[in-house]
Amino acid sequence: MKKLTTLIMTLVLTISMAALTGCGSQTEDPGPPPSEVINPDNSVDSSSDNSTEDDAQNENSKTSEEGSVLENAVSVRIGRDGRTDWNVNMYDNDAAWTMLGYLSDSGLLFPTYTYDEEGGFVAQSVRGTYSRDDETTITDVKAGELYLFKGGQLRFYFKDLEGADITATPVGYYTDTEGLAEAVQDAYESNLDDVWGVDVYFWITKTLK
Amino acid sequence: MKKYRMLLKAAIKKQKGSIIGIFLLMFILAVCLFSALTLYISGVNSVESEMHRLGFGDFTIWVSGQPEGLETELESVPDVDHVLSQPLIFVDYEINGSYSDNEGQLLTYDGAVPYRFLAADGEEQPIPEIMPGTVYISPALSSSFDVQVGDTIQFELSRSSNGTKNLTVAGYFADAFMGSSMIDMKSFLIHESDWAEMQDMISQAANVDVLGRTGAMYHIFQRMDSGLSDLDFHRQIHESTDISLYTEFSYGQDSILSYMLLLQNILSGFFIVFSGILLVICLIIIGHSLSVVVEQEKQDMAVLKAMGLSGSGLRGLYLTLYGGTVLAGLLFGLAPVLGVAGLLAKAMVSSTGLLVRVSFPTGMILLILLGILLLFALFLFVQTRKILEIAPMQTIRETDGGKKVISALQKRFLVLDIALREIRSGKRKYIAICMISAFLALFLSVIGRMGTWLGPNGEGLMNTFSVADHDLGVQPFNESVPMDEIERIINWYSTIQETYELAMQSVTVNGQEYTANVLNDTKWFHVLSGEVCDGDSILITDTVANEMGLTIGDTVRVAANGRMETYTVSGTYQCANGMGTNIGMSLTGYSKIGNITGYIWCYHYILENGPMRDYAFVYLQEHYRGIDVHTNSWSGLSGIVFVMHALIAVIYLVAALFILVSVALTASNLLQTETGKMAIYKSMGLSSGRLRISFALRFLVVVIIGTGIGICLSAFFADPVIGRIFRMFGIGEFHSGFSILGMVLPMVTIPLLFFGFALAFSAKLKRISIVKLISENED
Repeated sequence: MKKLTTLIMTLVLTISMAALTGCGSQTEDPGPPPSEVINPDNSVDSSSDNSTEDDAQNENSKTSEEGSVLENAVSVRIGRDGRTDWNVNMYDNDAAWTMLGYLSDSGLLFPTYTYDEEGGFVAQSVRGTYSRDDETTITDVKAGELYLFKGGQLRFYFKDLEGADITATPVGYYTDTEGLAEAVQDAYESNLDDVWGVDVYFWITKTLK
Repeated sequence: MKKYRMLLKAAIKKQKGSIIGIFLLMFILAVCLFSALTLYISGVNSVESEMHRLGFGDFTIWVSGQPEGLETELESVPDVDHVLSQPLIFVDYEINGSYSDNEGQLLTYDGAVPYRFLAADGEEQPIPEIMPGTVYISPALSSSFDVQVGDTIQFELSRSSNGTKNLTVAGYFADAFMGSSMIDMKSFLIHESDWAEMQDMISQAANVDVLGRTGAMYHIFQRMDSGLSDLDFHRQIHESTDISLYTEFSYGQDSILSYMLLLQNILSGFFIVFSGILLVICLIIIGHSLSVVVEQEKQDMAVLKAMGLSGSGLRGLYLTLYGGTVLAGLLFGLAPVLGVAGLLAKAMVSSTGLLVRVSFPTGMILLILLGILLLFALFLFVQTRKILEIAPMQTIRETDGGKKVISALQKRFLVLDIALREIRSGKRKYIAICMISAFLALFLSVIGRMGTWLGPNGEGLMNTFSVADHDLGVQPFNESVPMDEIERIINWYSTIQETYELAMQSVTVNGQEYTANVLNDTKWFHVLSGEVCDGDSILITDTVANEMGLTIGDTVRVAANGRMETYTVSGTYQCANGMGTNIGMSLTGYSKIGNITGYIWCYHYILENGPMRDYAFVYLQEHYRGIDVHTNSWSGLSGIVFVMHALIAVIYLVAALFILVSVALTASNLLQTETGKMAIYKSMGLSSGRLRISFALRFLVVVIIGTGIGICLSAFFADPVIGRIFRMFGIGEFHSGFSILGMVLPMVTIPLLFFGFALAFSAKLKRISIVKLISENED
């Protein structure tokens, strides 16, 4: 009988302790990540054959996506008080899709802090981590084109620029460029006394359904 | 009078077991209740007086920069009596390899603000001479960073190679404004020369490299004759001055008091509620014990009445015996109260950040003691009315029958059949046990549900306090942070399922300062009612809705950085951060009033294998500079989880003690009245062992029913009741669902404990021979 009483008390204690301390399993520490994860470019290329295959696959996928455009993806108003809607088509690539992910059907007031009259562009670093798979070299840039540079800088060219020779990912373009440069210049001039030091504001609305 | 004294002595001797049991119950009740009350009242008094002594305003605003003329501007506001300012430096810091999630505030000690200095255990120390190169910290930091005297704290003032200032921890001080582990920002007391050097380091660093910044605390005192409410006073200050341009955050006295004592109040609150349950159980046990005694002594009382003793005299005898025991238990329970409360206060130093000076709240305790005594007096008075109803002759002639139960006993289930037969024949005797187990199961189930909701690592609180669910958060502070590399590493630890971004920015809503939680993807907000916000609308918490009297559809003016826009309230959402004083905004909504391009965004990741976050967290923290990496946790969380789990363990322990005493009382009464029956069963050939199991089985059967009732009640009422309590802390919604801790554990432990204790107390059946049992019964 003493054994039974002891057994019951032990049972109660065991159940209580198990429930109170939690019965969750521990996950094992996998240690530090291997160097190829931290810096894939410096990794020892022991799988050069695979790499070639991957490159070929990427090349194929690029070819298949080339020219693929998301029409009427974005509507833009230039300047904080801008009233004209400019239609922007986006390319169907990862960088463009990442950017579209930050937009909604409500207007985003997007400030840009770099206005380069000579270079013919307005630039601003944008958030997000972007794939550089679609990066390419462009010799001549046309007004209305949008490019994403290494480090996440987005440039909107409002002038034609021959011999620009840039390496960047094309993300989209304005469908109508007539009066575009003037609109940007007007927005810049009307914003010179901005308290935050913003050069040009843009209202950006995703119109892609 | 002499004969009553003799009778009292005899009754004490005869009912020694019951008297000791009741005394113990009342003693435990008094220790639990009065220690919790003492800790609660002493905590409020201690922190309030310390805040007052250190000069905390009716509310205090933390500002960045040292705007000229702001203090004068504040003092010119009609309802402001006076303003005190304390200059400070906001800076990130690292202790023992751990980078703080939040900035610290550096203050100089010049004696103008009379801080108290402490030893690690919270005991006050003489004021030391603060040496250059040293720093004094809150004891709460020792729990979150495992920091001790002699360790080095690195303060990062700029990104340049010599932009870090190392200071050695020389001791602790009581910070009544930010010392609690529930407040993430911590104060540091340093020498004036270090302060000046650090200020130089900030001013000389290039703009892009600056990490620290100067600021100040403005303690604002309202005029005594001001008729403005706290909210209106706050609004008046924001509308009459430029302070909103510089405001980092602001808190009133009540908010700081709540933060400082949150953990301690949770602990005290639970023990006070638990004491209420114990009080009800005590009433049940005493009522049951008294009715059994009256039943047992009925014939003796009839004889005594026949001999000329009055019914009211006999009633007085029992009132004195039981009332005296209750009073003695309560009074003896008062003795260790200061010691227990003092021990708890010492144990809470690393949570409250200062040692609560425990003092006996005489008035309050006397009042409650009087109330409890009055309740018991009334209860005993009602319970002893049966004594008056005993008619001498009629009772003497009565033969004890009890209720006859005719039921066949099966040999196969003999032990269980006997148990059931006894329960059926004396139902009333078991109602008390059933009620006690129901109450205990109800309370333990409620506590268990809360424990389950909290989770082993505090996941419940994490999700209600955080804006949106996530496993890991990384906030880069400059463009050199390789976020793509960081994401690859996180993804290597565990596949990233979802990513979104959050910015927490200070804004004003109709002139009142709140934190705006801005999400680039609004689907992650925990919307409680209405619609998620868009570019023209905001979400508010229940706290903000109540504070500002807002409902869905109302329009509000939200301002930040000198810009203001009008938004519609689209719905309410859940975020207990800052006790619920926050609003939710979309990226597009915030872009109209705030600069969205700065390094204000924190990348939140939801991982496929959540627990891997801890390894990724440690790796990122050790290998990358210029980022703030955090899990869905905060420094005070581990304290809450520990307190909650310890509380559950202590409450189970006290409940087990109560069950032990309850069983002891009931079992001794039952065994005393059933000695004859037991003798008969023994004479029929039943072994003592089987009789004991049968005896314990009665408890098991009754308690299973009682526990079932308690669990059912908790299933219906626990969530709404807990939800109502949680709303006071800014937690708008509570759902517990099925849980082992809340349902299975009480369902198993309570019956087993009753069974085990009954089995243990029935041991005396083994020691008494059949002949003796029969002869005792005849007596």
